[in-house]
Amino acid sequence: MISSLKCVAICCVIIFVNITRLFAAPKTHLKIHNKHYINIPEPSDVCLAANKSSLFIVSDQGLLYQTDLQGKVLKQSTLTGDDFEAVYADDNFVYVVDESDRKLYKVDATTLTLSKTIDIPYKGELNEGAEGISYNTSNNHFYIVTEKNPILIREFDVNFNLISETKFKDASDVSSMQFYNNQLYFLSDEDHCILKLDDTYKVIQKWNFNIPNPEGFCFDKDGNIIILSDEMEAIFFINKPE
Amino acid sequence: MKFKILNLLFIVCIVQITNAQFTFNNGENSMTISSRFSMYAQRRLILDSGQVSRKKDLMNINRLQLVLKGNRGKHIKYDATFDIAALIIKANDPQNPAILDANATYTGFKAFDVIAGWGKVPYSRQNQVSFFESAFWHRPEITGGILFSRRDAGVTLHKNLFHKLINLYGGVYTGLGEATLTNGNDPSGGVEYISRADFSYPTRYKYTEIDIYHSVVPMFSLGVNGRYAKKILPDGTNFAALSNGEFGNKVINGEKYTYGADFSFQYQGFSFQAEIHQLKNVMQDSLDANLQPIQGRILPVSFTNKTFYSGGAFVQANYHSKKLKSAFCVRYEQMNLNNFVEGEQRRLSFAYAYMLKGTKSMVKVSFYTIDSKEVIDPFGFRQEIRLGWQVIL
Repeated sequence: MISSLKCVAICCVIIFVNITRLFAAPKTHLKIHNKHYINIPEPSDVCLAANKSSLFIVSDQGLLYQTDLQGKVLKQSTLTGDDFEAVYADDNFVYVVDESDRKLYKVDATTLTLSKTIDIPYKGELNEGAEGISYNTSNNHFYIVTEKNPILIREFDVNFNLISETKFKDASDVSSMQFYNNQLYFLSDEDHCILKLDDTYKVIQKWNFNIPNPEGFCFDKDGNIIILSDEMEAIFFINKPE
Repeated sequence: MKFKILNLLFIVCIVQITNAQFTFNNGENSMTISSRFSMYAQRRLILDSGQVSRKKDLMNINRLQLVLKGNRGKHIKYDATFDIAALIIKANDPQNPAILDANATYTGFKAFDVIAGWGKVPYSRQNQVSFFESAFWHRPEITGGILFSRRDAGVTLHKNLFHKLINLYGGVYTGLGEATLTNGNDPSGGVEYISRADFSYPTRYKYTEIDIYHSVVPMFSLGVNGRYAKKILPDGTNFAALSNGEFGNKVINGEKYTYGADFSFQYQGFSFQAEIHQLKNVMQDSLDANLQPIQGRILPVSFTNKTFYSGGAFVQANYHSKKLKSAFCVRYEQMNLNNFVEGEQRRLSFAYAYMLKGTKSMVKVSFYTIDSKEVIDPFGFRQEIRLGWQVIL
């Protein structure tokens, strides 16, 4: 009787594991086709400029740079902060989030001078606050994601009034986020992957890569991926994923 | 004093109950308050013959810490960590003093950063690893604060190069180590100089033991460090109580040279650490107890040359499984307190940690067996096991 029960239990486990594998998001490994070091200390996030011919990169040391598409510095903003962790740019402004100060800086995209400062209160750990910011053109809302403990997807209106907060549990942490072609993507440092999410924040695709300490990413105009490594102070280029 | 301790305990309890780290921010400045707690049960499995007391089989609070970290403006960071359990017990345990950190760092100079105050000295990689990042309930004996101090009051300059692949440290300290906190300075007026250089590849290598995040590329780090202290006591004076350590050789009346090297590697959850240290102690007095450890026998100066050596090493291997949420570790260590004393200590240790929430909540069990002992450090037992729980809020 007991041995029969054991057999049944083992079979159930085997079936369950294989069923979950069938429904698990398919994995793909991304290959790096180029990388080089950049002259920016502790780069923490990157976004494509509206003109799609330059990048904005922020630094853990509270600095904002505009670079060419290879990461070579073209201009540095006079704005300084404590710990810039997230950046997004539209036609007119660059939005920079300071994780330590819990502030968002709206910076003129042409002159890189400060236009407005907005408080974004958050009571989590000092070093586990905002890590990514992006804008969803389909609903005209800004989104800020926190790193972990918990990973919170915070939705704001255009004036940065908080609309909603949703916990995300399908990654160990999130270090950057992007809306691309109306689809939400997360970068996870600890899981070394990029996640593609649907409208309900369910993971529908996952790509792994071998880049240490990935802290920021964006898509270029052709859909290729640019990833920053904070500790290596380097920029990596990956071909458009399938 | 009792009232202040109760107030502190009350604050820590509130922090734990609310299960949150507090962050305060007033625009330019920010501060975080958090707490750390650990307790274990200990049993000595095999006592030496003649030993009957079981007083060391115990359950106790190991650490109860309040951590304050903050920034003032862009260039000033501060760090204050207090251990309330150590404050109450007052054991002056070098592995767990009542004040662990009380220092400030200024990062406004381009050439280097300045760290001033009380905290860990930049010597030994293992010394930099937080107790809460380890699966073990004990450090290796060689880096445990017996032969050289782990913390001191002083000033450190720090510089990193080549995208932080190279770190350089240099500083000056009291040289009394943990005893400085309670017993002040020493009559010699001497100080200690400490320096360290480490190189990592392909990225900066943090001071951790377990590769929890499963490095996607092989990483290694190599470090070398040295210390020099010259403390010549005027006639009729002594060092502050407890400063010369358990075996009288941590702070010496003379010159002390300490050298060490360390190597660390990690990849895909597997990690490995190795360290070696050598100490050369040149004594002022040829009849110092460290040069005359054998009762009833005087070793002549022509034999001792007023110098004795001590040192040790350890190797440690760790494996972290994300699926099992567990870390498995093994360590082998050796230490010689005094080359004029018969024997050396060798110990084999095993540790297992179950990570309820990473290192923030870990159930840890560690076991060690003593392979051989030094005559002046008989231990009184052969094997010990510790089982406990740590929580970081």
